[in-house]
Parts: sequence; C-alpha cells; structure tokens
Amino acid sequence: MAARAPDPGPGTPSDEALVRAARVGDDDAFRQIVDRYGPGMYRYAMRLVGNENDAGEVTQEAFVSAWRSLSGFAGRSSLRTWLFRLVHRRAADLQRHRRPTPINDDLLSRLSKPATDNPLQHVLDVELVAALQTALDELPWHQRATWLLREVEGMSYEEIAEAMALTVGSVRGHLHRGRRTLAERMTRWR
Amino acid sequence: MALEPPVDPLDRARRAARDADPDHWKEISNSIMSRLRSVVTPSDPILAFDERHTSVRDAEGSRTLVSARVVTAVLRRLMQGAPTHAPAEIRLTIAEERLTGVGVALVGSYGVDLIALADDLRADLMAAVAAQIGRDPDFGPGSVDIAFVDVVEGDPNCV
Repeated sequence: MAARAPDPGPGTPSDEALVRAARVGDDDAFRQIVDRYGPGMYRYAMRLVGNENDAGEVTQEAFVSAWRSLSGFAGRSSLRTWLFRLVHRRAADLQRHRRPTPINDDLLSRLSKPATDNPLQHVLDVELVAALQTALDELPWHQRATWLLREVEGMSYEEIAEAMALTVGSVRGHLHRGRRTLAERMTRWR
Repeated sequence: MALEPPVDPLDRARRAARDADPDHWKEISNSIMSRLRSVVTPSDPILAFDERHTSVRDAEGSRTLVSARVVTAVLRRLMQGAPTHAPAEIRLTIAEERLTGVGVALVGSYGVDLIALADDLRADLMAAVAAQIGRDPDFGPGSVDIAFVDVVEGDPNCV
C-alpha cells in the first residue's frame, strides 16, 4: 500500500525546508505544513473521535504543540509521522476525559468527496462510510486507530508504531483484530 | 455476459474513506493559524540608537525600544531572499537592553563560495540591524557570527 504523504512536487518546498523556515519563526512556511498534512490529520481525528468540534480542537492543539516544539523535532521520523503522533496523543487525551458522544451522520457526509460521474455510487459510498464509522466506533481504541492509520492514511507498520508509541508487533496484533471485526460487521453490505 | 467480481464492502468503504477530504478545511486552517499567532513567545526589548549614536531621544530622556522578535523577523526575511542559503537558526544576544551579538546558522547551497557569501551577508545583516535599531557604536562586524551547518544540492529554501 502506498503511503499517502503528499508529494510536494517540483518547485514546492520540501518538508525539511519548511521545518527549517518555521523553526526561525516563518509562519507562512508553517501554514504550508498545516495545509500539507492538516487535512489528513483532521480526517484521522474525525474518524477517531467521531465529532467535528472535537476533531477540529484536537487538530488545532496538535499544530499549536508542533509550532511550540519544532526545535525538538529531530527528524528521526518523518514530519508526517511526527504530526500524526501529536494528533493521536491529543485525541487520546480527549478520549480519556470525555463521555461517549453519538456519531453525527451529517459530519460523515461532509467528509465524503462526491463522485462526479456517478451520483448513485456516491450515495452508496456515503452510506457505506457511515456504516464503516459506526463499526469503527464500536472497535477498541487501539484497533480503530491502527486500522485508520494503515487502511485510510496508508502508513507503514513502523510509522504507526511511531505515531501511537507502540511496538510493531503490537500494531500488527491490533490491526489484525480490527480488520477481522470490521470485516464481520460489514458483511451485511455484500 | 461476464459478471463483475463482487466488491468487498469493507474495501469499498475504505477506499471511499481514503478519498474523503474535509470540505471546510480552509476554515479550520485559518483558525489554526490565528491561534498560532496568539501564541506569543517571550521577546526581549532592544534599545534603539539615533544618528548621533545615542539612545536618548530628547531632553526628557525618553528612549525607543524594539522587540527582539521584530529584529529576528527582519533578519529571517533578509536571509530567505536568495537561493544560495537559508537560515536554520537566528540568535540575538542582548545585554542590558543592548544588542551585543547576532548569531546565524545557515544551510548553504552546494557549490557556493561560503566565505564570500558570509562576508556579503554580514554586511547585509549589519545594515538590516541598523535600519531597525539604529547604529549602536559598540555593534560592529565582530558582533555578527555566521556558521554554515549544512550544504544541500539546490536552493536550501526549497530542498
């Protein structure tokens, strides 16, 4: 599976150049980091916490934390993995301190990109993604997070381990159980 | 007629979830940046000097102070303007409200004459400091330290 880290493309600053500039206070460079990785982080937070406001808050806090601690980013992991680690931590903190909230179906449809050439497929996909979110929400936290990072964000086992502060073996275990449970829950859509 | 193979619903849902992007990301991004701008880092005041090299502006003894944050931002922009180098660190040394030193760490572009670049840049940095806080008689070329910490292939502002 290909990782979903955006390719900056020719003439676009690399992550290293943006981090270097942001470290000396260049907030325009930091904005490019926000727009490069923020949508994925927000999408991850949204599916993990299931609430638009919380996901926005968690993403904001992750970026504020990144801005404050850029000098401590040693580049041992990729910038993307480091940012996902921050958003995962903030989401985990939030999860510990709140009561379960119902899933907002409207929010899920706002995450779905319309299929321009096939409206029926789009409707089906929206329903399918809503069913997936319901199934995800019933998964234990680590299974949900590992599944999202692997299957939606396209991270390697090593990157997930880094982002979630787990061992690779533990990531494999959570992912295996999560996949099995989700496959069972989604069978009625066959 | 050939039948299409059945699509695994979990796989289809996963693909739909991967293609989903928040349609209101711009709002969230703006809100993140506005919150960042409210995160104020501590910054020391630096005494400004006039053309007579004095920091006292009038008979009442009033003075002008410029935030170190302002000076740092000006120096950063100055050093980001060329494809030969990019700033990796900017340190201002301030003692008793006077700027006594500027230290910059730079990433240079491979193939550039770093010594000549440093000499040019030192003069530019001194001029930029003078434009912000005037000419402190004790602040001279020896107050500006330039270190190249890395060289990269191409423009360090992009690579």
